Parts: sequence; structure tokens; C-alpha cells
Amino acid sequence: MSGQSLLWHPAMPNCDNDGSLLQRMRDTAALGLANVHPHMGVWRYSALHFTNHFVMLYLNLFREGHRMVHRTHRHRPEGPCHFSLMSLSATRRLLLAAAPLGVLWLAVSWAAGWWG
Amino acid sequence: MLDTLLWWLTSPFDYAFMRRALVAALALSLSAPILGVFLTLRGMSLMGEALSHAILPGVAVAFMLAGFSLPLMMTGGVLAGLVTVALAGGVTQFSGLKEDAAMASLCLVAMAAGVLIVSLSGNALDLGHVLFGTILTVDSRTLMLVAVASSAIVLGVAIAFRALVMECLDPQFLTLQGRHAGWTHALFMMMVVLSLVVSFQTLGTLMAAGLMLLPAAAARYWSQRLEGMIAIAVGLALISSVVGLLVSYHAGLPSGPAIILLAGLGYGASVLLGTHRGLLLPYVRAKSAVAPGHAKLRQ
Repeated sequence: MSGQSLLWHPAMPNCDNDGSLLQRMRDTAALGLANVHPHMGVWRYSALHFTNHFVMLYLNLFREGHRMVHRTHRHRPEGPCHFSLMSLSATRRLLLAAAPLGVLWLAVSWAAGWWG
Repeated sequence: MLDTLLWWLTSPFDYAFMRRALVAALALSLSAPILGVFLTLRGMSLMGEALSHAILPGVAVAFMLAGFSLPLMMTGGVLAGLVTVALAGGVTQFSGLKEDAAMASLCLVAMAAGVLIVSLSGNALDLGHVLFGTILTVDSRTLMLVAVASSAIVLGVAIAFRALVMECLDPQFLTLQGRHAGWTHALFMMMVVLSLVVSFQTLGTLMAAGLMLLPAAAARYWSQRLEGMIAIAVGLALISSVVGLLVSYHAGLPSGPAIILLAGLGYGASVLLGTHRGLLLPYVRAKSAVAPGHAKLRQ
């Protein structure tokens, strides 16, 4: 594990990261080991570690964003975690629909020659 | 190069008839795909197609009585569509035949009756106009009708969105919440009929459902969320309409089929490249899963 950790990040695609519970447990265990391992402690708080962390994170976000969602995403406890039309009230849905309809009627006025 | 591109994009809209055709197509693209998404979610895509034929007798009778009067033809189409939906519902309710089978049977009869009426009362050109539509002949009055109908559909969906979604997914739950699922279904079918009736002027009764169903079917390959599907379907319909009109103008092709063919092209691309159940997706994932160098790092 220690040989792996220097260049390994739980988000890396080659770690069979399928988002399963077992995989998450493995990832958590690996991070825990990095905290307690005497040699890894030095590495963990070094500037190089943080650089490596963010490089790996963005590299993998770019390459495999769809498999990273469960790591970067935080659920909002007070409501739906995504934008959802179902969670909007009828008034807000009407306001949302008013925007494209406003553009449509502008286009209608242009096409019908109301602008002179 | 840039000038040529700009000319290609803007020169058709120097003409008033092209501007009206563009805005009519955009109005349809805004409302029809939303209903198409609900139709595909319900597994009723063929119902939409069948309904587009069911409006024909009403349009034909109005044409026979008052000539080419669009408001009357629309009224006739709405009435014929609603009568067909009600008849299909009645046959299903009382005989146990599935709704799609009842609808398919009735719509074939309606289509044959409509073609017969138009043939008896007009000439071949009129029949072609009704069957295939002529988006380039949309006048200001028709444009207003299309825009009003599209706005009504979008507002109707916005108001009844929760009920429509629940009626799609779990009608019994909707009934338990104190809303009658049957009324929600009737409201939805009315909106579908209205959308098809306003589409027949631009795309004809044979292709009226194209702008409704093709973008919606394509969107299912790109998103699994309802909001995503609606946004993608509307976007694809808008692109198909604009590019279809431009291509038809510059290449001298019929506009309706050009728009529908482009929507079909979008559907084909989605089937191949879509991020959800796209045919090429397993190959792309398999390639990216074995990235060179990563295997060594793990050892």
C-alpha cells in the first residue's frame, strides 16, 4: 500500500474505482493508512502531496468525470441535491417558463414585422 | 470565409416568409419536444404518431366546408383528435383492448377517411399540402396561432408539471394524493392534440409528430434526468429547425422533410454516441479504463 500511495489517489481510474461500497471502504482505509503510517505522515502534509492531490483530481475529473461524481458531489441535506423542476412551486415554474416564452414572443414580433 | 458563413446564416432571413417560417419552427421546437419527452416516458411514442393522423378527418371536413381557413381547420383537427382519443379510451375501457391497439385501428380509419374527404373536395396539391405541410407559406396570422398554442402548451406543462410527472410514473399515487389521474391524462392528451394540430400546417399530418418524438427519443441517450431530457430535446429540436430551414433554402430542398431528417440525424448520432446506452459507449469506456501507464503505477 505504501509503495502505491506516492502516486496513487483514490480517484485514479486504474484502481477499479466503480463507486461500489467495497471500493469506498478500500479508499477510506487507504487514506486512513496515510494518516497513521510514520513515513506517510511526512508525505501527507508536504506541499508536493497537495500538488499531487490536485493534479490527480483534475486529471481524473477531465478524463473520467462521470465516475468521479460521487467523490466531488455533496448532497444538500435540506433539499434535493440537483436542480429539480419537481421541487419548484407552480409560480416559480411559470417564471422559469416565462423566459423562453418572452424570447419567443420577441421573435414573433420580429417576424411579424411589428418593429416597423 | 467568415463573410460567407455569415451570409449563409443570415441571407435567407432577409425574406419575410423565411422569418415567419423560422419563428414558427422555433415555436414548435419549444413546445412539442417537451410533450414528446412525456410520451416516450409513458411508452406512448406511437400514440403520438397515430394521433397526428387522427386529426386529418377534422381538417379535411373544415377544408371542404370553408376552403383553406386555418382557424377552422385547426378547430376541426382538435375536435377530430379529441373524438378519436375519447373513442379509443372508450373501446379500451369497455372491451379490454389495449389503448395503443384501439388508437392504431381508429387512426388508420381516420387517416383513410381524411384522405378520401380531401381528395373529393380538392385537388392533388391540396392533399399534398395537408399531408406534407408547407412551412414557407406560414402567414402572420398562422404564426400568431402557432405561437399562442405553443405558449399555452409550455404554460400548461409548467402549471401541471408535478401531476404530469406523477401520472407518468405512478398514477395510483397521484390518485391517492387527491388528484384524478384520468383528468391529468386527458389534459396531457389535449395538449398533444393541440401541438399536433399546429404542427400540421408546417410539417403536414404525416410528419407532425417528427419534431415531437425524434428529439425526445434522442435526449434519452444523453440524460437520465427529466430536466436534462427536456432541455436536450428542446435544444436538438431548435437546432434541427434552424439548420433544416437554412439547408432547405440553400439547397432548394423541401423544408419540412429537411427539418425532420436533421432531427433524425441527431437521433442516429445519439444512438451511436449517447452517454447513456449509446452503442459506442462500451468501446469508449473499455479504451479509457486501460489507460497506458496506469497499470504500471498500481503494481
